[in-house]
Amino acid sequence: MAESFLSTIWYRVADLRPRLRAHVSAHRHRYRGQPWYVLHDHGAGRIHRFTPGAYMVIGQFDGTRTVDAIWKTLADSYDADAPSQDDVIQLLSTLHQQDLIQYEGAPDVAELLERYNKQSRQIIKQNLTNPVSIRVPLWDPNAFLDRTLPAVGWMLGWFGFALWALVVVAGGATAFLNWGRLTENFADRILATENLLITLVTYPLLKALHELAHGYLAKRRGAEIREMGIMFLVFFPVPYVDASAAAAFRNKWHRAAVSAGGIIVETFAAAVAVMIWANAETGLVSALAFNVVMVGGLSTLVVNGNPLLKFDGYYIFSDIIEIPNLSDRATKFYGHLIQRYVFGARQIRERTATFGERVWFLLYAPSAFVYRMSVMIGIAMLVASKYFIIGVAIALWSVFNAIVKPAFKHIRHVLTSPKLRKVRGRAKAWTFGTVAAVVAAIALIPLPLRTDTEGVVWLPDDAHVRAETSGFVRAVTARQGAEVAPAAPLLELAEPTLESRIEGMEARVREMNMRVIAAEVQDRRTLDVARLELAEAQAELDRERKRRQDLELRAPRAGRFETVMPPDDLPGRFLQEGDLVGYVLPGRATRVRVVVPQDDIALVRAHVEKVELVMAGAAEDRHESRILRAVPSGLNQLPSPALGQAGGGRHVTNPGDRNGVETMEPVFVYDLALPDTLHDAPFGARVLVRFDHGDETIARQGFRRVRQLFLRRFGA
Amino acid sequence: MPEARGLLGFGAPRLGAAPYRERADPIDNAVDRWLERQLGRILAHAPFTRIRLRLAAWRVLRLQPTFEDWEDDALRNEAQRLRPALLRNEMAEPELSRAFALVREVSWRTLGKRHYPVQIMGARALFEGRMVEMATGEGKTLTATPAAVVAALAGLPVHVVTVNDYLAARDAEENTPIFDFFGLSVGIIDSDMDPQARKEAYGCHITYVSNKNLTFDYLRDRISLQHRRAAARRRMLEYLSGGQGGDLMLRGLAFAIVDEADSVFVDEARTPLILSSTADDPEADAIYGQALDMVRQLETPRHYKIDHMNRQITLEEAGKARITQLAQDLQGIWQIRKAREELARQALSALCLFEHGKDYIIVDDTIQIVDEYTGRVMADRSWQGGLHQMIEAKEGVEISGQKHTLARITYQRFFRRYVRLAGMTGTGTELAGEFLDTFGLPTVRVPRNRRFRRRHLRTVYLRTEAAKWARLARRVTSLHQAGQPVLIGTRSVEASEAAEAALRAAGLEPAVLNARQDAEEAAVVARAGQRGAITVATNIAGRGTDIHLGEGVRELGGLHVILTEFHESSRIDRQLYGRAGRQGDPGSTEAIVCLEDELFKRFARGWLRLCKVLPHPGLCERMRKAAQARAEREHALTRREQTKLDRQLEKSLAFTGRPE
Repeated sequence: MAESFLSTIWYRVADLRPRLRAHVSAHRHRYRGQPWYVLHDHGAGRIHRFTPGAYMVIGQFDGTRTVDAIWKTLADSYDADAPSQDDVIQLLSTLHQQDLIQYEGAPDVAELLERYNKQSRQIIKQNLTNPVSIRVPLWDPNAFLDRTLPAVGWMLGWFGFALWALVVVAGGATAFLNWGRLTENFADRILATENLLITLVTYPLLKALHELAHGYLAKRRGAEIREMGIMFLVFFPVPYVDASAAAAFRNKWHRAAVSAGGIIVETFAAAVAVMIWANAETGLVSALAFNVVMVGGLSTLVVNGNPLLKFDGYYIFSDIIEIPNLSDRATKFYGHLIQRYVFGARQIRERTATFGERVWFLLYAPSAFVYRMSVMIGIAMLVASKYFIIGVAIALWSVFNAIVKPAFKHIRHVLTSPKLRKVRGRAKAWTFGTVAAVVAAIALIPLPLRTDTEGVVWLPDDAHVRAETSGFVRAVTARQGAEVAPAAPLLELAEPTLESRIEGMEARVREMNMRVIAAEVQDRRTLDVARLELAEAQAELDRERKRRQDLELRAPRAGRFETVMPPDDLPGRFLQEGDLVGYVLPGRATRVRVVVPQDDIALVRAHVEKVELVMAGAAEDRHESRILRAVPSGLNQLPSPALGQAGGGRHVTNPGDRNGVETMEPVFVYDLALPDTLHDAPFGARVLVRFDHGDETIARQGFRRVRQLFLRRFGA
Repeated sequence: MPEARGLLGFGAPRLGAAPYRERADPIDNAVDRWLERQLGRILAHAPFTRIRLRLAAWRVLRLQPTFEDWEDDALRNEAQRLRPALLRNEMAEPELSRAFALVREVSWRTLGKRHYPVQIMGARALFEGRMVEMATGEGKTLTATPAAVVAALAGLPVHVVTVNDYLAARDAEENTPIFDFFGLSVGIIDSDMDPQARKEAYGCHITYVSNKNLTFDYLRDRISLQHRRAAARRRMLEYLSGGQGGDLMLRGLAFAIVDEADSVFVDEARTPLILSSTADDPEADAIYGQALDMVRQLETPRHYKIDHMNRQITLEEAGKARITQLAQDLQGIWQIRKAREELARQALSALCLFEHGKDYIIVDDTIQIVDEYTGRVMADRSWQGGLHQMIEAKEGVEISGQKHTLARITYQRFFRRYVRLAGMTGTGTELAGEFLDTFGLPTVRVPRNRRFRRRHLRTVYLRTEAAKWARLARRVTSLHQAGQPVLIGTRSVEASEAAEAALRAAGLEPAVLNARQDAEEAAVVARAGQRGAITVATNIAGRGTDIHLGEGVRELGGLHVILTEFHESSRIDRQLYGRAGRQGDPGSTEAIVCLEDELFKRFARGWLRLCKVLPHPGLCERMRKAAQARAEREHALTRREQTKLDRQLEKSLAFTGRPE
């Protein structure tokens, strides 16, 4: 409908004599230097903001003058910005829908009933459309807060604030000093079952205090608090208090203070808890304190205090920058920009916004969207790690709510909105063009598909010089760094008791021999036993003799001899059987041993176009390589601790394994040729490996990942 | 879903808060309406209803031998005997069939016409509250009588709705003998009647009335009721005032039979009906002149832009600034920014968008609107919001007073309030979905009585308009030489004049109708079937009037209809073709059009470019279909959007109560 000054439906409203309802009061606020009028509906506890232009009309609703008379007065004053009849009708309609006005005469009862039904269905609908935050109103806490206010009043002023600041600074300092201990093994501790159990107790308690803080702070400045209940945040019951009446406060800091109450309480609790945790012995108290730190501190930082999500932080933020309804208006602002400049719908009027507001809108909407999506997906993944189906459901739901539903709405708007009538063709072309481009990008344009992993420059197994028997080092025969031939002596061990043990054994063999001979003639019944004993003694002797031989360590292959510790330290040292003494290094490294995680193995097996190597620390040099050998079955053992998490690698290892090589999930080992350009690569050095699988579309890549996820979950 | 029971035909309809019977406005949502639209389409093509109607008609026809032998009084007594049963249950059998058979017999005795089986089928469908599609010239007027009579016998106030006063009077008079026979009174509403006479006419058993009159009278009733609408409250008021308060005109919206329903429900339903009072405001008259003077100093495109497609003027910032500057020395309303910009926009519309001869004509120093869609003159309509006065100022005729709206209602809203609504149309199947979702009317097609003998000869596409008129003249000359009567349909008054000029240049003497819709016009149309007649008429002129063929014309091939410009809706083209070959008469049609016609330019640009290069008849035919399909789609969308806007408006105005 074009904006017109005289309205054809004016006759419907001309003779009404409206007035504001008795429980509605008007306040003058300033937002970003602009005056606004705020109507506070004390009955419903709601706040409605109007421009001075609208208030020019509303202010004259006294129940005695007709709408026509009021409008004529305004028009007769010849104010350049006198409202049109349509403006007035629009305003009346808004006021009526918000239940702010009354007038004599019978309204349309059928419509009233319909609206009532709609409103009572609203909360159910809201809960259904957003199952991760379900609100169940329970109780009117106004009287309770009134009665208990004197008891807590002393905490609500500057004194309380100072106390809070002090404690939080102290807590922050403590956390800083204990940062390493606080954050080590973070995810495991948070998700550990006992921590979750403690959370079950602390979280609702902390949130109850949080909500009461909102209530008391609002109460202290005279607002009424009429609704309290339980909200199921991600199915977790937490109390809530509806303190929206505080929006009527004129001073923006007062409004912000009410919103900040919860954060203040939680950070206070977290600060106290961090101090307790730092000083307590490990045990229940410490676990409890740690939990409170996490709940109060972490959740405030990530969720509640963050202006990008619509929780307390958002309201504080929008109060401070004086843009109420920031999120909504930012979204609409983008809608307006697109309609006006992309679709070319020039006649669409912009909702008045100052320059500063526009800057905020431009910044806020995209960052909030990205952040909200990441948090939602994060929550979904966290839940999925324990309850897969629910997690997937939440993920689907949030994607539906954040992308599918708005997209559907926008497309419907583009197709049917009367505002876009003149530019419908262009609007459609842009909308569907963009959608088609995105779909094409996802489904058609191939993107590089790669698997990145890590390996080590592999030292062949036979290059290790190990003590083959235990003993003290007597002498290092070969020189450190000398080129040795195969079987060249390297090191001599001494086992002082060995010689005598061998002598004893020899004597025993002789003895047994005698006994066998004797038994042959004397007592043939014991002959078998004697022979057995002889064989046993002989074997033992052989073993000991072998050990004597092994005391001399020889080079397993040709190469350069290197000891693991300075050769001078070796003599006199006791070595266990199997201890690494040194290496006989081949002339140059030839292989890189790589592990591929289970998730990527199918891809690596199916199709590899190119393999690239990058030495850790020399990222700019890429070297091409090829696969020499693949171990077909998965192992739970890393070839080198350098690849495990503990060794700074990327593969998750079992925290219980001291060596840091036992993996949580099977890995697959590949040997790659080390290119000539890397001939001087040190053995054991970490190598970043990229398997290039050629190009594939995003759709296929995504599908593969999702399928893997499901296959793994359902044990297929 | 709330309307499901109404749709499935069980349970009583939800009645509105009114002193007489009327249906409450439906509560539904977009999904309901979409489903209804689909259902309407399916029902229109499904044969079930037709089979059932055929059986019912057969039951009626079977009674013919019985009643043929009865005395007149016996028939009258039989009618009275059936009434109690029909009063209890309008659908009671066998009383209903007997009543229909009675009307059929009486029609034979009084008018000499006995209803054909298909007419009985149609009558039965009307009585059940359906939209009946019957081919043009199948005797729709007569079809309505059994339904009207039986409903009146069953105690329902019956309204037979026509598109204009002339048709209301004509149809009523034609059928009066039947109604008289049964002792049923007939009322005819004429636009010039005073309220008392109207009230009497509505008090009759059966009332013939034009759609506009009916709706305005309903609005007047609503205004007189104001907020005291509930029946109980009303009765109490009457009681307290001693039986007074009989100021209502209608007796209830019980049963309406709407003739030419597609025209009423679709073509005319695009604007709401507005009941207004006129107030003279001498100060205002000056303002229009000032506004026109002011905008004559503006220039496009620097100050404003014209959008011919959507008929809109957009003021540019420069234009607004200029107006502000020009208005500096003026007083009053000129000081209000929004008001002066609106005045400027209107003045520009009056100057640039509305053309004399096309959008309006001047008759007796008054501006009369020509409906862009049908080419018909809308005698007492006026544009809203000062535009009408602006155009009067532009043309220098006396400026009529500003109209102040008292009440407004859309046909969509009004007709849906009938407890039972029935419609007759010649061309309605493609609108079946809309009839069901907007009016709750399921459509049924009734077959033809006689073999169809009209032939479409050819469609000729010419390049230019000049070629079109030349071809038309040649064609008419050759037809005229043989003596075959020719009817030439045009889309606008302007085109009529062009056609007339071309024909006169060829030495022919055409009769030209300028769509005034009166008896004289109908007479001209009726003569169009005489030997050697040449008639030029806008598409709609004289609709509802049968063109009877003159002597010897049948042998010449009957009436020949030439269409000179395709309409946006193929429905209206078919209505024009339907002038020929009525009731089994022979007839032929042809179309002589050109590529410069507005339809192609507006709705099939791409095709048009192709056809200009390659003027193959097949391609041109495809272009026509594409253009009409697109136009119809857009019009349907517009109507849906308007209905939606009306709903939204009603919703947002709920706080004012519901005066209409």
